[in-house]
Amino acid sequence: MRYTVYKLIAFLSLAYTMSSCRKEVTNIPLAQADDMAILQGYLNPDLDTITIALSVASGITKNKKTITQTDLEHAQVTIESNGVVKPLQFLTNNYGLVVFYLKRTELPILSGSTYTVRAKNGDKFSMEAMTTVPAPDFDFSFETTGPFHSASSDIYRIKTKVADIRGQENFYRINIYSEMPWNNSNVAIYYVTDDHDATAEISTKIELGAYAKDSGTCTLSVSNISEEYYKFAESLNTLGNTDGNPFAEPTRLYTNVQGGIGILASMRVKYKAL
Amino acid sequence: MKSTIVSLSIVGAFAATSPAFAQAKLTLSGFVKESNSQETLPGAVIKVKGSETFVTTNEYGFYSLSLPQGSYELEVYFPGYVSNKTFTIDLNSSQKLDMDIAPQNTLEEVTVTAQSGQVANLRMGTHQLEIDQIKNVPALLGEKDVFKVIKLLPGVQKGQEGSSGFNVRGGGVDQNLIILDDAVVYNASHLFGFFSVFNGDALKGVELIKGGYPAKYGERLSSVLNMTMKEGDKEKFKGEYGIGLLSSRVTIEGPIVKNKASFLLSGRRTYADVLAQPILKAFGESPAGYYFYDMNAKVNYQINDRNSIYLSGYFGRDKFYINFKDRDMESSAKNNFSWGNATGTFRWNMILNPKLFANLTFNYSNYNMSVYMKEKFGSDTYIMQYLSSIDDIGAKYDLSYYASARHTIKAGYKITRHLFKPSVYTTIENQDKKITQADDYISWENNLYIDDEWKITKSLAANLGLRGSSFTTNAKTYFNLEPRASVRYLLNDLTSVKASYTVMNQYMHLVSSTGINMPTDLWIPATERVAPQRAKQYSAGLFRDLQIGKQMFNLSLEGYYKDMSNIVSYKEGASFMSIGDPTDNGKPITFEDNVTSGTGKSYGAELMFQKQKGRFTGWLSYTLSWTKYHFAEINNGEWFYPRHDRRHDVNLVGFYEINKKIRLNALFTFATGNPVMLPRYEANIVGNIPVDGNLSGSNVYNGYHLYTDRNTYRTEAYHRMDLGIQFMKQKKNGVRTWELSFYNVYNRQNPFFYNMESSSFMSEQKLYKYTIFPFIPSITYSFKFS
Repeated sequence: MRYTVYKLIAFLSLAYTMSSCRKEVTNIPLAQADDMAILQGYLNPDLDTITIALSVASGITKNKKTITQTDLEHAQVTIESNGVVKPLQFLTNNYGLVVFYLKRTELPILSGSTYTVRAKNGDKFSMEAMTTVPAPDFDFSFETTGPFHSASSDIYRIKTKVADIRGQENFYRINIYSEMPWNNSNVAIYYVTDDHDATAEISTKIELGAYAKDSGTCTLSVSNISEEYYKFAESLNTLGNTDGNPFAEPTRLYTNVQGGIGILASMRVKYKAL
Repeated sequence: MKSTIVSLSIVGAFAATSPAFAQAKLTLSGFVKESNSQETLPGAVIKVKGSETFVTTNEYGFYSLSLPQGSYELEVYFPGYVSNKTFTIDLNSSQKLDMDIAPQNTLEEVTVTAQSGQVANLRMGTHQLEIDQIKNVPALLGEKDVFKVIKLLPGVQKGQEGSSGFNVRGGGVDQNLIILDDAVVYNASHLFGFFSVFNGDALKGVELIKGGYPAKYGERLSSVLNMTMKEGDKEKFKGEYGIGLLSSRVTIEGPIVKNKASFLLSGRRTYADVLAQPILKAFGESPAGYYFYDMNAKVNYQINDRNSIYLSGYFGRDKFYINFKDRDMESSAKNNFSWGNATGTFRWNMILNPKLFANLTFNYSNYNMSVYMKEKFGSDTYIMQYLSSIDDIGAKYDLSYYASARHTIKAGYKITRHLFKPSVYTTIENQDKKITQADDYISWENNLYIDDEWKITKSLAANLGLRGSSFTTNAKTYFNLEPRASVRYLLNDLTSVKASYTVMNQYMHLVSSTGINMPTDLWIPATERVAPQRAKQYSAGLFRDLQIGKQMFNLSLEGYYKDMSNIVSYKEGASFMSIGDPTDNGKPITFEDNVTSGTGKSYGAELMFQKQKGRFTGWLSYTLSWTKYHFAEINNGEWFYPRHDRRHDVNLVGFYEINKKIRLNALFTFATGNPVMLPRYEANIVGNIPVDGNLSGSNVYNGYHLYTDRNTYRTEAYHRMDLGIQFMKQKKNGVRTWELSFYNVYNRQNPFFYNMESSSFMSEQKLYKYTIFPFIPSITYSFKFS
């Protein structure tokens, strides 16, 4: 249903646009916008490497200060926990995404611990963000039904149940990853949360195309994610879905990065083959 | 609050003991009617010549005057009608007198004899529109539109270019109570907001109240738009049809039993879809189209001198469709998207005695929106239907008691049951039917009011009222009291000053994530988590009739300040698309999760300079206003200007009747730009977050637009001029009219929306303005027959 409405909005936007007259506006009376640095990091205790990525948000209206790729590559990036500070090393620049890394052996990521990441480069930018890794107490089960025939394609329904942590609001990412010969990708991603203090179990229903399910290469994963991860991912989704729709209520990207924008989040992940 | 109750008690005591009340008086009562059709005229002012005594007809055209025995000359004033007609009566006993007045013939000489109704009337912040004015204002594609004319009044801010939505004194579009024959119309727009659903041919009266509300009115914070349908001519059959570029319309009315019962039927439909079908077929395209239609019907029956009953209804719908068929693949698809309103009203007017008038009303109102998709592939069929609706059923009982020449007391009770169905989602897959439904809300709303229109001295009059309301949803009940007070002081025959204080509550919210009127906008009730909206409004004004030579002009200057609390908006990042979506996974998201409550304030000044009589009529209106909103969860808790804030708004409207055959109509409108939010950054962000969090192999998505402070960019000013010329000719069976309309005559490129785009791949982002209505000429043919 959601996608039907998206399509409808997209169609209406297109219809309005087609029937409109377009003219460039010059001398926009807006304050100038300097470039801003973006920080993204997702800490996972099971991963052998910590990765932090830096990128740029370019000011649209005649920016005064620019941040270049070189500025990002020469940033000092550190991670701190319980008074222990470790520097991260430059790894790669992947078309505008500058990645720094640190081996887990240098600073283990532990459930319940709090981590602070800082990234700075002189007067160009100075960012700081913090996250606490979720506790590992969760498990999940799933059942598959189908295939169901539909006019467009055959589908399976995957019903996932997550045994939840009582007494707190929990946030999850439910993901299906497919490794088909022609394409490795996430074929379904859902972000869910539960009722605070109310339920001990949440249930999701995912519809999966038969072509993916029958390939035998699908993995179902459930990540117990931090609240900031959930908020960031949801606002990023909305931003993507409404981008280019001039009638949509403007969306601000959630950020927990001081001195810049972006996200430092953490999670625990469990996998099961479908 | 306490003081208001005390005031009302004093009023009652005063009424019972005043010498004027104690003196034996006779009662003159009846209806004010249009001379030809016998339609009653609500809001007409009846004045006793040579005295300060006057009374206003109620919303059903009834009046009652208490006078000592004697001979009197009565003057009747109603906008657009002959005002120099006097009625002479020798009052020896209480009696009934129906007064007929005729529509004004502008070509006849007008004698200015008395002050206009606006100076004497207690009400302020109120505009009564003449239907002829609505029909004469030049319109886009010749489609006459009540809302387009309302937006030319002071205190009414324009919305988006082309949109029929309007904002009154800084309020949101949901803060306007739009009622047609006592039934609420929830979505008053056709074609995504470009036209309103009201067909001017079927309307008798249009009244907009912006402030100084009598206690009878409530339910919304910012305005009441009260429309009444014609009852139908009781003497003869007549009608009108019109053929325009976008739609055609027809209205017929006439007696069922002469002078006892009559009917009215009116309808219109667009036909772009019908005209487009042969073209689509010729080019091998799939059938697709859009149309809207609406129908109004009313019957009434005068049982006897004291009792009349009325039954009226409105039904209108918009439909957008696209079908597809592939014979080779044995597949087909049908897609419909439709929305519409239906209302019904049964009314019983009772004159219980010459001083006591009662009205009993039962009404029904429904708005629904549906999406229907049917796909067929070979023998497999898949059907999906989505339905969202709101249903109201209610009853009300109103009493008008004309206690004495000094006191008119009105009281009433209204009960409404609201049924909200945010979404019902049905799928049928090869006979396997599945229905998923978001929670319904059933709410009960009760309103009780009393007010007294009190003529304290020759010059001083007051309207004191109190309204109590309750609203229950699930286990939560809200109770609120709304005091109302208005005073008017006559400085002289031609000048008065007025002031008012009102408190309003609103128990329903419209959640919308777009700047235009979309059928997907959702009405939701106040609940335990989302409190009702509330507003306090203070206003004051000067009203003056100006006589310049033989010409009469009306001038009004009003100022207002409005405080609003618990107004509702989407949280940043929230989307209406996820509300109540049954296909969502995990915890169902309710509207309460997505909205946040805040406060607002609006203040400004309004000027109206009007000429209502003569060959040349029209008005100049000017509004200076400020509106600011504050939400803790939006814009980092900083105050911001909402989209409908406009600093200056000027409208100039003129009608000139050259002779009986030719009439010129023109309007010019100007408004300073409205604030919008533009993206400030283009960001490189990892959109597809890796499930394990390892970013070493991730790619960035280049082109996320990021926003910062809300509505910091103000669009360029809006202005345009429309012209129209009407050619009338008397024919054997009626009058035919050709009308030429020229919308936006100097082709101003007014902003519809702004968008940040790259002119080519990877090039610099630039701001583009989109406009939709350039210079548009149109022609309309209409014929009035009788």
